[in-house]
Amino acid sequence: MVIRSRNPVYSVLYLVLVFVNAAGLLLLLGLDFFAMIFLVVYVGAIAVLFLFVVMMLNIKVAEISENTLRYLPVGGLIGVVFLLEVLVVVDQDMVPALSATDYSPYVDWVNWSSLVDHTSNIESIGMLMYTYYFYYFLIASLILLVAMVGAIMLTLHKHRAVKRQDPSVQNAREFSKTVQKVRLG
Amino acid sequence: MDYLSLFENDFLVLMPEIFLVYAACFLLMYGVLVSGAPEHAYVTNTGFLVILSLGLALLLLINGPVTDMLLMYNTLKVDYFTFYVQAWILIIGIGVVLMSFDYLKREKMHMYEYMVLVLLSCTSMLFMVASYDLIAMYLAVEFQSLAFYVIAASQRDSEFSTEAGLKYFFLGAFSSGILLFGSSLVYGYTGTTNLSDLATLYTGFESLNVASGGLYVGLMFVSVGFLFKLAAAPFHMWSPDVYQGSPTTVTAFFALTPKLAVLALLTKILYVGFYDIMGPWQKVVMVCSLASMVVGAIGALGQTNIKRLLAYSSIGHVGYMLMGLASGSVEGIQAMFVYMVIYVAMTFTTFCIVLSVRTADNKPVEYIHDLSHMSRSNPILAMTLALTMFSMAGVPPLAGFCSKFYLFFTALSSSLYPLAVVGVLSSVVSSFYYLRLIKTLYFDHTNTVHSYVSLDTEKAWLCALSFGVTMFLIMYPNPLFLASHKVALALCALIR
Repeated sequence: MVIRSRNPVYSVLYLVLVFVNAAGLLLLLGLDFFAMIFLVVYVGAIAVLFLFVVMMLNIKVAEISENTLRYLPVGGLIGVVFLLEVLVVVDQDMVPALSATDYSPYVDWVNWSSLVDHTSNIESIGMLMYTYYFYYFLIASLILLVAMVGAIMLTLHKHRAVKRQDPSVQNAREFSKTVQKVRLG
Repeated sequence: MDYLSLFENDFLVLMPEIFLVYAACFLLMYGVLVSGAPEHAYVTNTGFLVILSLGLALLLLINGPVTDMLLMYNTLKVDYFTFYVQAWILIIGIGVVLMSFDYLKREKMHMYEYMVLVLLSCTSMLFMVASYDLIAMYLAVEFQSLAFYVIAASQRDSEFSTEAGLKYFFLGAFSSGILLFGSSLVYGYTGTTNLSDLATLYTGFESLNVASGGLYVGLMFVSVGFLFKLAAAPFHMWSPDVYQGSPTTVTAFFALTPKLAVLALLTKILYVGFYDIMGPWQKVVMVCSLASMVVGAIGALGQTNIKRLLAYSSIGHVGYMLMGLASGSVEGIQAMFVYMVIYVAMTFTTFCIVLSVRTADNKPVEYIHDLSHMSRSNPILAMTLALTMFSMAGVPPLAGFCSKFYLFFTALSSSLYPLAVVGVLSSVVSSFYYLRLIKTLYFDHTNTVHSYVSLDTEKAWLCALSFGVTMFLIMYPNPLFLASHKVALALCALIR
């Protein structure tokens, strides 16, 4: 849907959906911290940046309405190849070789990892981050402070010619008097 | 478990840094609340407050209760080496702020944030020098460079400054990426980021014949990242443009502090963490040193812009300093720090003079020929500049000779003959353009008219002090030599 939708804004939104799906896959793999970081970085930063860019570009919807079916042969071929590849991989890995019960001479193994007191990735990162390594956390916050100061310093123009809102005046306005009907004639 | 008790004494040792961070936050608030209109008085006010806080931090640093300690769960280390470098960073910070007042006023840059960012970048460099772990190192480097990108672009109405900021930002981000990639490779192959752990791990490493190409690649990437930040020669492309584009005080800041802080950090990492695999990194440093000396000498020949000339000259100086680093001995480090201090003094003088000369239409000087007639309109200033140039070229009774001589001596004693030979040759080549500047000062007769503003008090003091160091160091160089020897010993004592 990212490439199929007519409206680029919709495509970006579908891209967000793709990122969410990828994060879900990471979650299924047990990489919970990575999944969260993936969401934060890709959806929070990159997709929003794309969205801004797309909104600024002012693309006309009509331009994109070309015939997409002519990409079908090549695209379909690649798609089939990928599908076959996936099937091959599935065939190799997902089929269990032999069930463990057939080999009785082996001692029953103990799943030690399940007996260990378990903390998730995020939990352990948090526990390290806010205790032993809080220094890193503080320095990262200072970096963000500098980034903020820099952005304000480079973009905020204090000049007579720049039109700015006065928050107190803005807040003091009465809603009922803001929009008025003027009878002409 | 009460984790705070683990860090009980650490805050005491980190007092200067903590104070500076608080001061920066306070000054930001102060600037927002007090400075309503863009006026120069606020900038001066904030500037003096920044000087005050840097001075207080210097006092805190000198009177610190602990001289030697690992802190923040082995991520920072304080010893005489960090003390010395941090003290110099604070002094240079004070000097740069003093230099800036008059310039900012004349250039109508009414931004108190400039001062606060100088303060913040000084803080970041204090952290940088103290860091003892690859992650802490990366974070501090990033902190420092982010502040630098902003002040490089701080002159908003000049497209040169914007260009400088953008170029610095892109290449800086690039080098940060290289640095981070190298650190992650090192972490991947060793499983540790701590420098002392790395040192322990590498004991007798080269005799073990372990195949560890990835580790060497990681080390290479880390060194290249730092050499990028230092603007050493194959990675120097950005520096003339950034030096030219940034406001002149910022250029002075760039020429002074990052050289000191980044070189100190690189020395620490290579000497503490990777000393036992010296072979690979010594080659990198040697090649960069050779290339920087040659590029610094040859590249500056064709320059007519003063700031570009100074940029190339600083590339050359970095090459000489790397020679000390490549020698891999205590004397090499000592010579490097001696050179660094003298370089700081000479650069301060030069930039004070460049800042105090303006063309007839009240613009800052850009070209070398703008400096002609100076020997007649302001003979003392011209004399100062000429002597500083002689010192940079390495003419005997001045400080520049002293430092260069010592460096060549150590390079020879650790059998780096090519470095020493190329160093002497490029020093001869580079004296050409220093002498050309002197010729312009004294013998060129052009018809351009210039207005020479008299130095303001702050710059006059700075200029006199730094020139005094350049001039009279040869009379009594012992304190400097002893202090840098102690620095080198403190650094090398880390190698167990």
